[in-house]
Amino acid sequence: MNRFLKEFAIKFFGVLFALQIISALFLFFLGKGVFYKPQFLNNRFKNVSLDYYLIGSSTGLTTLNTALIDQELGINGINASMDDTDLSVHLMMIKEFLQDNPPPKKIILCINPWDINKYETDISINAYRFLTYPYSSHIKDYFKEKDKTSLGILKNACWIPFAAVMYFNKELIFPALVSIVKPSYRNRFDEKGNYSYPDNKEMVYSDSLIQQYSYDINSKYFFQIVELCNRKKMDLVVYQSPIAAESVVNNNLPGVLKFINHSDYISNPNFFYDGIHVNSLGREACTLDFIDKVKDLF
Amino acid sequence: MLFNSIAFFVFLPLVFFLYWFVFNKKIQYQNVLLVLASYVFYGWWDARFLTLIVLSSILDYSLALRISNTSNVTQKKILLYTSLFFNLGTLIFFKYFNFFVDSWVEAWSSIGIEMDPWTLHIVLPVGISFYTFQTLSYTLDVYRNQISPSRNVFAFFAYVAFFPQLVAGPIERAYRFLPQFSRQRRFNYVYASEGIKLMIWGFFKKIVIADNCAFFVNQIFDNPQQYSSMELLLGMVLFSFQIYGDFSGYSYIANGLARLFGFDLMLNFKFPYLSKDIAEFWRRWHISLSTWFRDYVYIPLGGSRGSLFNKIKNVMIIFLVSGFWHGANWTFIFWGFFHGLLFLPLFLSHKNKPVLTDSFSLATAYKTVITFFFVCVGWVFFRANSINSAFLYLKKMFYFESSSTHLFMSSSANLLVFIILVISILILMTFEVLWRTNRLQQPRLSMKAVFFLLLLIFMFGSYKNQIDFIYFQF
Repeated sequence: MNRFLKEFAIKFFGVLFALQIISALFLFFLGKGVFYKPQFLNNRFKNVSLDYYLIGSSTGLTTLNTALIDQELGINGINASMDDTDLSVHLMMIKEFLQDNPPPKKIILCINPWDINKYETDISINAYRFLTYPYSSHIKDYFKEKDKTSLGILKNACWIPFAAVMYFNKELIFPALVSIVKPSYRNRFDEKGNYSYPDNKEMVYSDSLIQQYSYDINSKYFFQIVELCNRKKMDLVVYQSPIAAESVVNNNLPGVLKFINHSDYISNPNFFYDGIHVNSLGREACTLDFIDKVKDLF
Repeated sequence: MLFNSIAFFVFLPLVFFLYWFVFNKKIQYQNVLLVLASYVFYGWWDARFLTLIVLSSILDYSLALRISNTSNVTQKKILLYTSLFFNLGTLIFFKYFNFFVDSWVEAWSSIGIEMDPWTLHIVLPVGISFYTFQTLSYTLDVYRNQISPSRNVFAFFAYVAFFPQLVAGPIERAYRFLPQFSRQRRFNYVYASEGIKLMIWGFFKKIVIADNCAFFVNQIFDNPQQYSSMELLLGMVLFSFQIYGDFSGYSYIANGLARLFGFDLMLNFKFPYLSKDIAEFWRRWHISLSTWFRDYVYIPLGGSRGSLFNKIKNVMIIFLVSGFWHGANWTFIFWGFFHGLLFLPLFLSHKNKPVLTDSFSLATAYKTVITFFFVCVGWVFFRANSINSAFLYLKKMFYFESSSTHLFMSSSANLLVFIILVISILILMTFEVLWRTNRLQQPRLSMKAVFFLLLLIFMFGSYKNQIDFIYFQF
């Protein structure tokens, strides 16, 4: 029995230790690349002065083309939006950016009514993308606040990275390997942070989307973003992307320099990819109108 | 409690420690601990249904003693029927009641008479078919004077509820397994080490193969009409590996766990997908169930004796009952019928008793591939929501209108899971071919192989959407 327990303990902890090392290496190599948006922002932007920092979820990622904005207005900005995120992640990403860079002149915040109406939000399903920076105070705070798993996989990632890497193995290991082979590979976004849905798909939207939303600003994170912008002297521009067959009313947003509401801007179904995302045609139309509305601000 | 849950990884070391270091003074103490641990293990899912296990244990323990003590044949029969009535009655009520009511209503409806269906919202107790069959085998063996009844209540209760195999087998026989609860147990280093290796092999099959297969299989079988012929073909093959990985994975974990506590469970699988015909497949797949039906149903029915009609009837009964054992749905019955049809030609030409110790040869690999294909077709009936849906599935697959593999390539995540599956299945089959080539009946893993498997479990395992073992529902 003693021999069994001894050998088992040695092998068990040996394997655990090896997996810890392997996991840390995977996270290290992922962190060196630009596969996901957090790594892209962290590695490409150090002490960079920007005219604007565009942040949002998938609607922000796919609606406003920062390359076109920069070209038309002769300014310099970046699209930091990431799919399947909410205002709590946006707040954290702004703070992360400000840690290494001077405050941009403007923050362009892409919002969604179903997000801004909620006081509290659950953890983003893409939160694992921040695992390469478990020691960063903002990310640590975010994990601490949001990670409700019994093992605390994300919030304990700095101590037991193997549990996090094992749990999110398909999302982390393959990208880490790609980052080793091709460190410049970006996962579905261009050098300005944009992504566009293709045009060749018939737009399908669910019946549940056909309704009229109104902004009932409950999100605590929205007010924290407003407060952060005030404190860092950044102008806050809020943008609402098109939503098929519905519109969003109530344009009163406190602490906002300008609110551009495109919720009912596009009525042509050919400009949509699905109920809440435009395709490249819709993106161009929205971006041009956006440029027209903000050109005086820059 | 699931073997692949956090709770189990706390439960197992605790029970192991108590078993070998605290309760090790007497076998009786260890048996008491096993009973308690098994009840905790089962009650973790739903404590209410522990009542059934306890009642079944009390009843069969006392009935077997009385069967043994009486010489009156009529009285023996009454006692046996009481056991059969309780055990099968419970099984039928929980598992088949609604099926019988629905089928009755549908039968009348087909001739134009509408009835109001009266069904109950019955929750199926996990593993009821497994422990019921295990206790039944005990009473039947005592009745047939093949074993003496147990006079050790804790040994018997532990035999019925032994947690490694309680919910999904192997369905052990009393003559083989029960004496192990009365034997002095000494910790065996080699035996326990082999147990750990079997568990790792089982986890690889469950977490890497079965759970990743489920990702595609559930999508395809839920909406088969949306997918191309090629996708349906791949869906069929992936389900074959899902059910194999899931069930044999469970069985290997159970075998390994039992070894940690000094017990030897029978092997439930002997590399069935390398079989050269259906008869061989059934000697390698879910062995504990097929031998149970052979001993307690097929032979009492007359087996292969009697007229040709009787022989065919007995074979078909066994396959139909085997199908029905899996669940209250016509799909399972048809699955059994399909296998019966495949088996009959071999049976009638006396080629139904293959040698299981032969080596795997590439020269006969084509037979293995053909057998595997037929087994896969059978799994479509097993997995489909209805027989009609299964036929539509096969029709669309065999027409082969489109070879699109869009589902597997539609996103980088899907492609990644598909690549993982291809690699993992190749690894699985390579190991099995090597073992068969060396005439082994069970996995034998070197330490290097164990570390390699652990790395695969870590890198390729499916953890976010944990899926229950399929056979828990039976």
